[in-house]
Order: sequence, then C-alpha cells, then structure tokens
Amino acid sequence: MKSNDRQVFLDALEQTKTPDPSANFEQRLHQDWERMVLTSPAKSTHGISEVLTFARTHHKLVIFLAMMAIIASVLLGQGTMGSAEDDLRHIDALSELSLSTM
Amino acid sequence: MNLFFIGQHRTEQALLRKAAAGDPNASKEVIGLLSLPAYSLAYRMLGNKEDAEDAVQEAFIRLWKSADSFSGKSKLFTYFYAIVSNLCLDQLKSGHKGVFEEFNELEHGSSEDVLLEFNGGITAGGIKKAMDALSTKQRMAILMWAYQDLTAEQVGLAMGMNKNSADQLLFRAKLKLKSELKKGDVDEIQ
Repeated sequence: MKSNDRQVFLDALEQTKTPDPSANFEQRLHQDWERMVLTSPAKSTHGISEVLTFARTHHKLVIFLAMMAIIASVLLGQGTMGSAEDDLRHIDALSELSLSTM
Repeated sequence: MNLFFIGQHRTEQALLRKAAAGDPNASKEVIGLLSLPAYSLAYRMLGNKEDAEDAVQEAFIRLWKSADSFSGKSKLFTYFYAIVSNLCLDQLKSGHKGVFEEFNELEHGSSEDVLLEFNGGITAGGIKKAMDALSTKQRMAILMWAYQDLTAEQVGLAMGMNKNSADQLLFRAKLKLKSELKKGDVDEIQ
C-alpha cells in the first residue's frame, strides 16, 4: 500500500513538465565521458591495464579460466603425487628383493 | 528481491563497467538511459535549468569514476539518483545558508504512518502547485523518498539530520502535500 502510494505520487510527479535541457546537453555528457574515460592520463596503454580492463568487463570468463587453472593444477598435483607413490613402491619392492636374496 | 531484478541489476552493472572501461556504445546507452530522468529530478530539486544541467553533468563524472563501486544490488537509477540528490543538496546548502539547519521542533507521528491516498487521481497542475507550496527542505525530503525509496533514516543521513528530525520533516512534508492536494481538489470542484 505504502509503496503503491509512492509509485502513484512518482507517476503524477513525472507528468509535471520540466523545461527541456539545452540542445547540446547530451553532447556535453559524451564529451565529459571521452575526457574522463578515453583520454584520462590515469588510463595507461600497458598490456597489464588492458588485461585488467578485459578482466573487469569479462569477469565471468576470467572466473571460468581461474577455475580451470585450479582444477588443472589439482589434477597435475595428484598425478605427480601418484607417480611419487609408485616410485616409493618400486624402491620398497627392490629393497625387499635385495634383502630376500641376502 | 527476486531473480529477475537481480539479473536486471547485474546487466546494468555490466553495462556501466563496459562504459567506464571505454566502450562508446555502452556509454551512449547509459547516458541515454539516465540523463533525462536525472535532469528532471535535479530540476525539481533546484528549480533552475542551468543548475540542474550542471548537477547532472557533475553526477555523470562521479558515476564514471565510481563505476566499480556499483555493486548491482540496487537499480542503476537509484544509485545515480543518490549521486544527483547529494550534489543538489550540496548546491542548496552552499546557496541557502541556514536552510538545512537542524531543527528540534517535535511533532508526534511517524512519516510512515502518513498515506497520501491518491484515490481520485491527481492532475499535473495540482501536484506542481502542491510541490511549490512545500519548503525547500520538505521538497528535497519528499523527492528523495519518492525517487529513491529512502527511509527517514537514509534521508536524514543524506541531509545531515538525525533520524527523528528527518522523520518529522517527511511527516510534515507528506501532511502538507496531502492538504495542498485536497485544497486543489476543492478549488477544482468550485
């Protein structure tokens, strides 16, 4: 009810006329954007900043790539640990064999 | 908040970040989406075309600078209206010394208890007249409530008042608006 009250008031308010902004108003806003975003001195053209910009605009892809990297490193780690265990088993077997021959 | 709104806010967040990262199409879209409603709000607060344009221009500069801070939890409109309102408040505070001084006058009642109850509908002329009858402070508070859906506490924070004072301000603004609208109805009938 209260939010409906607010919405009706807002709709009525929107019906009241305000003078149109100046003809070049939007153009000024675009010029400000160009000055702020495109030609700002803080915006470097380094590869790193491009990567950061890419990361900001495609954050889902970056999260996906990070997940893939983590999974790959876990799998690689498991494989390395597995081969180390195999090596130990081989050494054990050899030492048992050498003991038994003695 | 349902999933539809969360999705919509995330889209707006992505759009804003693209614009702030240098995408010209995204910036055009953001400017096209926000500039006119923000100008209307600024004009209603300041009552002057040039001041309203300056406030919106400055608000856009702040928006590009703070694009990373927009979390997408609220609508982009709401986020931008907050920037515009604060700039208008600053302008009014610097222009009219004493307008925003704290007041201790106490009246009973909470602003949330006042319903405007637009049963018969309201005309554009009626609402303009009623808004003009409000004081600067009352108009600011009611516009922040209407455009940004702020609570009395949030209005108080924006206007540098404590919660009780802001609640009383909103309470009186709504009562005045209601009585002015009723008066307008009677005038129209007569």
